[in-house]
Formats: sequence, structure tokens, C-alpha cells
Amino acid sequence: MNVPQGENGPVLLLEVEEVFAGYGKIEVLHGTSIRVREGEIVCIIGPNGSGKSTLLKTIVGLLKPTRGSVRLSGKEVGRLDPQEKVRLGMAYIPQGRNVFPSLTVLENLQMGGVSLGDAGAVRRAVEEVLEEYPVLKGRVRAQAGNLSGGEKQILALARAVMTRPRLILLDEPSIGLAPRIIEEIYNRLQEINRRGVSLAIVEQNARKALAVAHRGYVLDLGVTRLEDTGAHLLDNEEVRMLYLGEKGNGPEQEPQDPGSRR
Amino acid sequence: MDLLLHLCVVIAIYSIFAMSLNLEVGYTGLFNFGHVAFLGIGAYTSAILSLAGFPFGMCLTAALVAAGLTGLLLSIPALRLQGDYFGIATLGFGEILRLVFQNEVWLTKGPMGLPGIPKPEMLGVRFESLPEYLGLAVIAVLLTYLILGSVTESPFGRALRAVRDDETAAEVLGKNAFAFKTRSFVIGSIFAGLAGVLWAHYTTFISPSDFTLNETIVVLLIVVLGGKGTRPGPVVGAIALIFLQESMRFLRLPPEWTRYLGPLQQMVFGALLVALMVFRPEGLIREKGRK
Repeated sequence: MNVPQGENGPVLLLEVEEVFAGYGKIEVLHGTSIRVREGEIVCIIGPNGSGKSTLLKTIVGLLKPTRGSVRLSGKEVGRLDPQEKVRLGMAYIPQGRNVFPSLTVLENLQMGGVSLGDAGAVRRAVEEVLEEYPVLKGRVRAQAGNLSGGEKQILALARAVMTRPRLILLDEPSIGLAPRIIEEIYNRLQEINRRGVSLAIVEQNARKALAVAHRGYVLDLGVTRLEDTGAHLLDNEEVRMLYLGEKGNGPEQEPQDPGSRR
Repeated sequence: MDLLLHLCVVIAIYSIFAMSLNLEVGYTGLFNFGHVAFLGIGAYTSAILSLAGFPFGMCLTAALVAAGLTGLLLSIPALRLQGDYFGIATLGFGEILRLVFQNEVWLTKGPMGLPGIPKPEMLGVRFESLPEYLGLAVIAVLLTYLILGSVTESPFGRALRAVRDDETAAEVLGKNAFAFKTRSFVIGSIFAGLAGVLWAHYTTFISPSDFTLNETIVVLLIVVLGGKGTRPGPVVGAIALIFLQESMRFLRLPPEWTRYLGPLQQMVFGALLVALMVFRPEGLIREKGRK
């Protein structure tokens, strides 16, 4: 695991400090803090309703923190809108593989080219991404709504890569996918990470994510409960009991989407 | 023969009106139930100015600007509302505007309407007779078709469809959904204004009763019948609906039934809409890739 080192240890990319946020009067995050260093994979786990998705939405700017700060490379970005954060190198893949169903695969990718400027640059970036994701190459003219669950998630990933991010935030990338597809998605994520892109992954069934993560956080009721390396969290007795669903009778099964082909 | 030419002019004007609504409803997913307001603004602006003696070119420009500006002003509060609430807000706006036409007698002559609107004259050509006016209307249809077509085929149009599909996903890819919806709404309003201008100078008489909720319903029906989110859809829909509507005039009904003809028309429209929902929900023309 080679995380780039600055003068005083690894360079901090994202700092979320004591953030309070929620929906209207309902506060979900009560002072959550996480950090992502450059080149790092960070996994955030926790039970339902612990504020994992809310945390990602707050980082990307879909929700604005009422208190606390969100810094990207030391710059305060807590008040910025999502479309400004894309330009600062932040990408976000929401839960449920939301590609644009009525657009073709090609058009979906082109939508990711917003920060690239001219049409030529977008076309070259699309070609590059298609080389990397051969699954999509044969289907560029297909309507994204007709893809399988796994293909949609790959497309969402490829589209995020198109924005040339430094940090990708992923909300449950494995949800509803068959184990073999999950494997492929995580291989892709590690590949992206090897090129220096940091990842913050929220997962409910966290075994896979913790296994690839450099570090992990356990979130519970809107506060950061634990922070450790991924491997340590996987070994932690309490984590295994409370958050990985282990009660001494084998690992929890991933829910499977009967509709996901391939 | 004159009737046929007349029908063609009406179809042309409705085509423009429907194409402008299709940009909003079909491509951007904005259910605008007050679109008739912009038809009215275009018609009244051009009518009032030309009755005051201004040349047609100037009246046309002023009408398009007025429609576009009103669209911009309405979109700022209305587009902050989601889905159904946006529909209600625009519905309210359409009614408010009709009441303004009806009550601001000093400007619009109220329910009396504005008679004697001159036929248009542009670049030394006067569009007086039916065939001449049809020529003008067809040119306007072609221009609208080309302009709105290139808008929807461009990266801008792609972004509109993306916003329609998933606003949040578009935003996190760096698109300001609100700005895209606003632009779509303003462009739609301008072309609705164009349809209004053509209507006013064609009939030479307009009154508030030309701009009721019924017009909005008819144009929505045209868009849905033709196939929303497609380029030829609104034109096809306008041809089908206007012919259907007018052909009902020739029904051989017993004399004592003729007073039911108006309501019968509404019933046929209603039945048509239900049949459409059941048998061909995507409209006559299908948007590619949509199921």
C-alpha cells in the first residue's frame, strides 16, 4: 500500500471536521469527522441510519453542513454546490447506479466531460475510457436504461472517471449486485486507486470494502465511533459483532439482485 | 379549398406552439400547465404594438422578447418547485395572465378584445391572402423545427435530457440543473410567443377567450399524442388532432343535436387520451430507446 508521503506524512486530501448536517429540522450528522489522504482508499461502514449516505451528500455539496468544515486540499469547500466541486476534482457515485436511462452509453460518458472543455478533449477522453472499459465499448449506442445492473455500475464508474477526479465518493457500489460483479467493481476501483485517485466508499456490507481499504471508519448515529486500518477493523471483535453481522455463525450473505445479468 | 388552407395555417401555428412545449415537457421534463400564457403574451404584445402603428418586424421582436422575459421571470420562482408543484404554479400563472388580459381594459380592451390587427408586412412583402399567410406560417414552422431541433440535438439538449432523467446525477457531473431548466423554459416561452404572434395577425382579432386553459390542454394533448421528446412528434400530433377536431364539423348530426357538438369534441379528446394511454403511451412517434 503506497500512499504518497508529504513532508509530514501522507498529504491530506479531504478533511471533514465536526460536521453537523441533515434534512431540514432532522439532524443526521452530529459532529462527524473523517479524513482521506491522497491516494488512499477509505471505507466508511455503519448500520442503517448511521448517516453514511448523508455524510457523502454533505461532502459533495448536495447537503450543506450547518456546522463544521469540509476541506479539500486545505481549502474550505463546505458551502460550495456540487457542480463547483466537480471542477475541484470531486466525483460522486450515488446509490443505485443512477445512469441517465434515456441517454445512450456514449451520451452518458459525454455528460462526464464537463470539466474537459472543448469537444475534441471530450471525444479523446471518451475513447480512452472505452479502451479501459471494454464491456461498454460494444454497447456505446445502447440506451443506458437497458443495461444490466453490473453494466450500469461500470458505466457510472466510467462516467465518474471522465471528470478526471482526485477523489471519488461511492455510495454502496456493491448493492444489489452478484458477487462476481462486485469482485469486478472492486478490481476496477483498486485499479483507479493505483493511478493515484483517492476513494471514499460507503458500504453496509463492508467485508469486501474493508479488505481493499487502507483505512476505515465506523459511523454510528451520526458520529464517528472508530477509526483504524481496514485490516484492523476487520479483525476487531466489536466491529465483527456489531457491524459485520457476525454472531459466530458464519458471514452474512450479500443480498442479490435477481435482475442482474452478466 | 380555403378551408383546407385555413386548416393548414392553424396546424402550422399549433405545431410551433406544440414544439415549444415539447422542449419543456418532452426534453426537459417540465410539466408546464400554463404554456398558453406565453401564447397570449406574444399575441397581445404584437397586436397592441401593431395597432399603435409600429411595423411588423418590430412588433414580432418585441413580442418574442416579452415572452422570453416573462418566461425568465416566472421560471425563477417556479423552477424552485419540484414536479407537481411546478405544474400547479404554471397553471396558476396561465389563469392569472388570462385575468390580466380580461381586466386591464386600458391596455387590452378587456373582454371586448382587439379587432383589426393588421396583416403582417415584412421586407416589402405583405402576407394578406390565405396562401401568402400559409407561406409565412410554413417558414415559421421550418425555422422553429430547425432551431429547436438543433438545440435538442446539441450537447445542450443532451444535458436537458440528463436533467430530465436524473437531476442529482447531472449536478454531481457539474451541470447546474436549475440553469438548464431555466434556459429550456425561456426558449420554450419565446417560441410560444412566436405562435401567439402568428395567431394574432392571422385571425386579426384576439380576446381573452382565445387564451384559456383549454388551449393548454389541447397543446399538451398534441405533444403527448405526437410523441413527446421527439422532433417530428408535435407536428404529427398537431396534424392529427386539428384534422380530427375539424372533421367533426362535418358529422351529419340531427339538427337538435348540434348544440352537443362542442361538448362532444371534449369527450372525443378525453376518449382519445385514454385510448392513447392504454394502447400507445409513448405517442405516435416514439422517442428512440424509450420504452
